[in-house]
Amino acid sequence: MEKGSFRLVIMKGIVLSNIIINNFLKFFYSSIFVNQTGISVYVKKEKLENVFFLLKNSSFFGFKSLVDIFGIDLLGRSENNLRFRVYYIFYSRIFGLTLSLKLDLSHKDVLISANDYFKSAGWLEREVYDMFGIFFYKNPDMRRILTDYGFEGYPLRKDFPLTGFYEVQYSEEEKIVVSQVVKINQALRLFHFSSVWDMVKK
Amino acid sequence: MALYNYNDIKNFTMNFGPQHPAAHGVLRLVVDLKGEVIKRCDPHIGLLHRGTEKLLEYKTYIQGLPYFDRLDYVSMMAQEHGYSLVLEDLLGINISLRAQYIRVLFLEITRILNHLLAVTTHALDVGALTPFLWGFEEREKLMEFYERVSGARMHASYIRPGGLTEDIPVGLLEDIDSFIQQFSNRLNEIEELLSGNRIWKQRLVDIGKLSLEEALSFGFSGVMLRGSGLAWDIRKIYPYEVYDLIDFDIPYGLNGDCYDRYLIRVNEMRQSLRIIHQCINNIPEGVVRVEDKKVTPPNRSFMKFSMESLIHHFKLYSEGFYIEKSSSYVMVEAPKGEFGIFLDSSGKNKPYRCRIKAPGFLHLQGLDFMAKGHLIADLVAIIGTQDIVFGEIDR
Repeated sequence: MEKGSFRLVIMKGIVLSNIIINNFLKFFYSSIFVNQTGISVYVKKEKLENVFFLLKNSSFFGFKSLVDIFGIDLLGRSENNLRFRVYYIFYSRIFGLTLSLKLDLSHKDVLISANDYFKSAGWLEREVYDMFGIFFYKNPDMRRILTDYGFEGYPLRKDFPLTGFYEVQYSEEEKIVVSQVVKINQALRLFHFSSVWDMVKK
Repeated sequence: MALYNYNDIKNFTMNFGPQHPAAHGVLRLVVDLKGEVIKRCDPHIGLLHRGTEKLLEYKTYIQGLPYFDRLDYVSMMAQEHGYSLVLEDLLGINISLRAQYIRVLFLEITRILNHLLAVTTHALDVGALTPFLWGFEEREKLMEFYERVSGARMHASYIRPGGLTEDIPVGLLEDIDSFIQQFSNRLNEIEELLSGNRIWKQRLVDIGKLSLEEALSFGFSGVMLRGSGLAWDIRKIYPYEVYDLIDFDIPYGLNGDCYDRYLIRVNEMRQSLRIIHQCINNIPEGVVRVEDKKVTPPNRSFMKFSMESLIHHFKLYSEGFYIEKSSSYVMVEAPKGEFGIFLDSSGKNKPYRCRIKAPGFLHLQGLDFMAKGHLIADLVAIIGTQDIVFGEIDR
């Protein structure tokens, strides 16, 4: 492909994104943000499966690949008392567009899996579950993925300590790997850098 | 007389790894076999999980940078570049043209570094030892270039937010030039041994076939996607740094099998040589760091007589800089695929959340699909073609 034609595709993509928003996504979002290369949509949780269905089956969109799912723990920071935020990043490889869906949910909420629509969702959802404890129903394989077998707790939550709770080591006497409570002689030091001059910084 | 009914034979479950040399690190595969045919393979990952994303939340922005070298430990600079880009995006910094050229130069050196390892260890897994020995000879030379600019052979932390650590030393460009003069011959030698080789083709052609639809659905990127016939490269689609000023092509495959992906890797190395050649010819004079002393350290010699510089240096390395409440998602074309970083700042000097999207994670997820129905020996070829490095998958 020529260098110029890529630019053309992106220009076409920006025009298309307006059509997409006006005609299709308006039923499913509560707020929206558009920039040069993509659309960012705040989705209603109940409509999530409809959005997946739409993105998967409409050849008009071209959002055929789900490239990332990740969460944020908004503990003490969220405005609407919902603790977690989950992002879905989609790519339209035809138009060179990104679409990021985001939605807020409380610690009690579960989400529907995108696994039926996008094959990449399986592990990405497992990772979100592993790190934040957000459960995705209809995912056929909801095991933990990155942490150890038998790990307890959700490491990327803000109330999970950096050092964790348990550590494992090989015990020379018992000839087996044993798990024990983490013992650190020095407490974790967090510097806050607050100073009286802070008001100088806008 | 009762005949033995072969359908009664139960599937055989076998562990592959985590200490198998062809597993490229610490991959544990639980493979269900029927005879020699793979029925299901379930990768168990996380054996190298170090909690990078969690650690980054406790480090200042500059302290977080070296963690990125240690993710995919064969394409170091590509990842610190991604992190630098996302920070520059949030800070609103534009770096000098010279710094951009040097970045591209070293990004392409990194690409050769990665693809040399990918192609030659793939050949090693399949049974050809010689390219591996030749390839590592060349990798050694490339790591020397790393060493000359940053002092470290692998974990360089050379590309930093606001530019580079320091300018390249005198004479480096001449040496890189003489390297690329001879390197295409080394590539020819590797290709001579592999591309037309009957055994190599028997092991790779029509193995691990992926249609474009499947590759898109699995979220594949990089060579895995280009192998299935889509010329998608972020360097072309959303050009960052000076890639829009540079002339290069995107090789892509037609059949989506392991052999196509091997050819693409070799071709990408040749394209990288083209890019490096253009960088060397067009590199302008100038500074390599932005002047904003809140983001980049002052010159070492200034610190000897300027109190202001000393204070800036101290404040930068102890406290770091602050980023106002914002978030950004940046994707770069790392050698293995799209490497994405999402950074959310809450107005402090540390990231509130840093999400690292590793291309290998999604590729490994497709292993079950790609290996199903193949023989156990082909599994090794498929792992090789996916170019798996556990540093980035487990994070």
